[in-house]
Amino acid sequence: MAKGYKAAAKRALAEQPQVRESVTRATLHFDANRARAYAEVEAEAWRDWAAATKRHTLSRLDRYLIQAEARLLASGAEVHWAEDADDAQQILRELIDRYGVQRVVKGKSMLSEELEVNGLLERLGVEFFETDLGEYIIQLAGEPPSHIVGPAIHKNLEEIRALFHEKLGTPPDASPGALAAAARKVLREAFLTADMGISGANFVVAETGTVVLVENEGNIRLSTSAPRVHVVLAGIEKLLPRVCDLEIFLQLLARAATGQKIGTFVSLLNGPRRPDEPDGPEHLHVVFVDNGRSSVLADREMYEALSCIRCGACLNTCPVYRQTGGHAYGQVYSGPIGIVLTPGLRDPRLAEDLGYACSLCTACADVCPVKIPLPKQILTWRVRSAKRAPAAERMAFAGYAQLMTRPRFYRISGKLLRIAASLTGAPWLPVLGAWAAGHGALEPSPKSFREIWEEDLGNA
Amino acid sequence: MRVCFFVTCLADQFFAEAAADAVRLLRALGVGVSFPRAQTCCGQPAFNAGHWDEARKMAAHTQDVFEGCEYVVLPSGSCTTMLRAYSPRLFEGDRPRYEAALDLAGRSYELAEFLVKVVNAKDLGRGLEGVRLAYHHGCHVSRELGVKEEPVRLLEATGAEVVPWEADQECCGFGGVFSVKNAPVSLAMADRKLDTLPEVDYLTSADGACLMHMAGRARTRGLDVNVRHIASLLWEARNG
Amino acid sequence: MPDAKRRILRRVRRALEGRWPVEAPTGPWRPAVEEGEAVERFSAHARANGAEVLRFTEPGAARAWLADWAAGFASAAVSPQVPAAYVPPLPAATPAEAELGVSRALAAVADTGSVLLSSSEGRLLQLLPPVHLVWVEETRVLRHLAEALEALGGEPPASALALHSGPSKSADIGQIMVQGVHGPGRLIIAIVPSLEDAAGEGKTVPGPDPAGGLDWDAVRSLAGRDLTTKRGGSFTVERVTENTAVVRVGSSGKTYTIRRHCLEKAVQRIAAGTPISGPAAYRRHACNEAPAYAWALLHALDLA
Ligand code: SF4
Repeated sequence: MAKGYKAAAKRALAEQPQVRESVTRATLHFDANRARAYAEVEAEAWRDWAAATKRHTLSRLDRYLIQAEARLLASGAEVHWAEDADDAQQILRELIDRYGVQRVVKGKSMLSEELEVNGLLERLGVEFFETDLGEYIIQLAGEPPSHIVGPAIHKNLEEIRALFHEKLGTPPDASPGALAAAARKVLREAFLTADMGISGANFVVAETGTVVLVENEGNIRLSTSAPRVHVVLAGIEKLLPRVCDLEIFLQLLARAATGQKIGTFVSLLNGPRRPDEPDGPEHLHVVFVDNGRSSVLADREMYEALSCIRCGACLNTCPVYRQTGGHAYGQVYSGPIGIVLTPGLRDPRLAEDLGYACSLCTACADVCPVKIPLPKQILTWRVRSAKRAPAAERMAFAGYAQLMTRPRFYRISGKLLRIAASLTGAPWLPVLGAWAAGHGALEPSPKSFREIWEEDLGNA
Repeated sequence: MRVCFFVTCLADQFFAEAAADAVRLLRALGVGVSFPRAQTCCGQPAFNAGHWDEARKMAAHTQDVFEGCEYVVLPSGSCTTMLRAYSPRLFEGDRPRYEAALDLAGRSYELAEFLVKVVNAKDLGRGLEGVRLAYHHGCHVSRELGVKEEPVRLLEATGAEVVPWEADQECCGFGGVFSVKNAPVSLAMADRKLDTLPEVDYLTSADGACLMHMAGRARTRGLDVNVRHIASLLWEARNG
Repeated sequence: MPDAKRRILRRVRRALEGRWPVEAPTGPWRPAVEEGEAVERFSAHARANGAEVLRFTEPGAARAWLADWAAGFASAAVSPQVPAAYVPPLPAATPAEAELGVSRALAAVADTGSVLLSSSEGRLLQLLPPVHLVWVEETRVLRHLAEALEALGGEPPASALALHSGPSKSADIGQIMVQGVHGPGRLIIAIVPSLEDAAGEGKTVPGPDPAGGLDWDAVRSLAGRDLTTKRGGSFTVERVTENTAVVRVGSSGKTYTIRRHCLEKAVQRIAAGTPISGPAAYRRHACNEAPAYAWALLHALDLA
């Protein structure tokens, strides 16, 4: 099977038309809510401020990391550092051993996907539950998330009904409320019996060592309150300098992601349960993960992408994403931010394929709450991979440039195109052939503008 | 007032009549039009494909061709964006060329934008009374240059009705090489446009390539969609 | 991963080498939000978030409502911080079994329609019962999120603060909104003029504080002095900077940093009539940051 976005997108469109339908509907809805929520405030000023704050944080990242670690330790948390997914898995394995963990509840975390935590838990024979409803749905379905905020948006109600009917025995026509109740029942039991909760940080405040988690369901609060041990996975780019920075970031994140004023539940965590508190985890572990981020930081044309707060707005507004959903990208991060981040985090050669999962419409640049220049960066990846483009493509562009800098040749070619098209519809050029397959034959104007000018307009 | 007309390669070959209408319209409004013969392509196809060495050659050629023109007017939103927003990026390491790019950027206008901002044309004639139109906002000209209202205002002033269209600002899926590299997605994007298109007499735009893309797709699906470049509609409004 | 930290920081530093640091935007920047009375805006926003908001101007009315409303539930898990008069007349149950959870908010935020809750009252009673009742004092309804977050600024008063801004919800099933997915399906916020009157005695809930009260020069004068903790451990005040005092412990050689903000907070509490008679009280009322040494500093200055 051919790999990469190109092949997967083609397959998805041909074989799973319902994905396009579900994803388009959901993302249009998110995007409209985002637009309305931006319009209520001075979004432009908020975004400028947030972008500047994130760029500042990145430019001093070493200091903020050290400060955050010190504050976390002072609050009674343990801090770990993972260079890559192997390190992170090793750390988790040790913690699981140390606390004799048999059951894990997980809050939604893209970093956990990056680190393949689920695979590790499976190998260790640890029972684990994705507790975000969307994540739970795809865990049941055995799929990865297709969107960073709505992991199951590629599935419609019918598919979820069938899935729950098969796995949980709900009636085949159960209402969304009944489906949610069935999931709640299973997961409530899991929260109360799990030994460890794993979450992914939205922000870590350097000034106070506060771990900030944002959600709508309450599953993250439960995952981080009920079990004895709480492990926070935090990308090293998740830092914010000050508590007061949260004021904008919490509101901006919610507005960008779903159009809400703020996430329904925001956890502001400082260390494990204190002696005078009735409940809460006895142990808090924070794992700072690099996993390619420091290389992105070193790339001056790409480092802004580390400002990303994973709101999903760029996916929601992306007309390409809407056609295929996230799975076609074949990576943890999809949509515009996925195109920009993935080659930097993993392998620059991935840009050869991913760089073209984009029509350069620039819609994402207008919505990103931290003003990451996504279209510009996608184009930069194209420039970098153009050198490795297929020979035919490179030759075609070289020839094109030759033609276009020699007006007389250009003129003659126009004539040839007209003659050829009139004879054959021009499917003989590989590029034009591909075009003609979807659009019908090219139809050049009977006379070029140049000819009209010469015969008519030029004499006026 | 005199302008240099940059027909752009695509319009030259595929929208020649519309480009000619643009010239007729400009002249009817008292604008002198010249046509520098050495012009070819702004370089955008190579620019967007990442082949910047090639794009640079074409952009430099274009700079030379239009040197000394007071205004450069283009019947293409996307190519205007190339001159205004993108081309300078090609010359970040080359001071004179960079400055020439900025200079050209300052003189370049998309047709409708030029008519509104410079010629100050408010009403061109009511020759389109009762005609129903859908206006497709080309991505680059609307988002990168912020030219959104000008074309719609001009069209409305002709008596035509610009019908609300939920997807009017969405990308049609053309995207240059994108339409070849990821053809199925590109066509699905066109479908989204076509499937939401209201009942209209014409689908129009300042970007010929987008129109070609949507019209081609409509044709292979057997849909009855008439496309016309905005220049032709405006000229028709003026000319009766 | 013993060396991972070093290697990560080295890579980060190398990445940043030769780059100008980007200045932070000046000051915490207050977003422009619509003006208006805090309680009204709070109520409107919380309702828009799906919460139910009640406002009582008379304590009697609140208690009457509670007696009546609570009759619909079989049991409740109630925060110890809720004054007796506002505890529903229901059998107590564990959070996992209770039909109703009752909390007392540290603060409420008008801009976002949120209530700020503390883990000092227990986290599970805020999450497990299907219905969550939160009492808020009118004067604790703040306009902006930043005002509520100041509670975190010095030393967080609890291990987990949380903003709740409506019932638990999800649209993960076919984009259809479902309430009460994991957390409470109903959030009822009851605003009352005061929670102290009805309780009879004042119960302090740590909240946003103004700064001041401590003569920092007096703290500076301690630099170089050897002091002892309440339990007799000896330590040295190594240095005092603009915002911190650094102490070194005699036995272990470890150093601890005590922030000015925390000491100020403690002094303020003392001035307000809360005695801070030892490290435990210091930790509770000021900061959980080297409380033994911080308290000893205050003690040396005759402040505690
Ligand atoms: S790149 Fe911007 S818009 Fe996209 S997910 Fe990240 S923060 Fe949101």
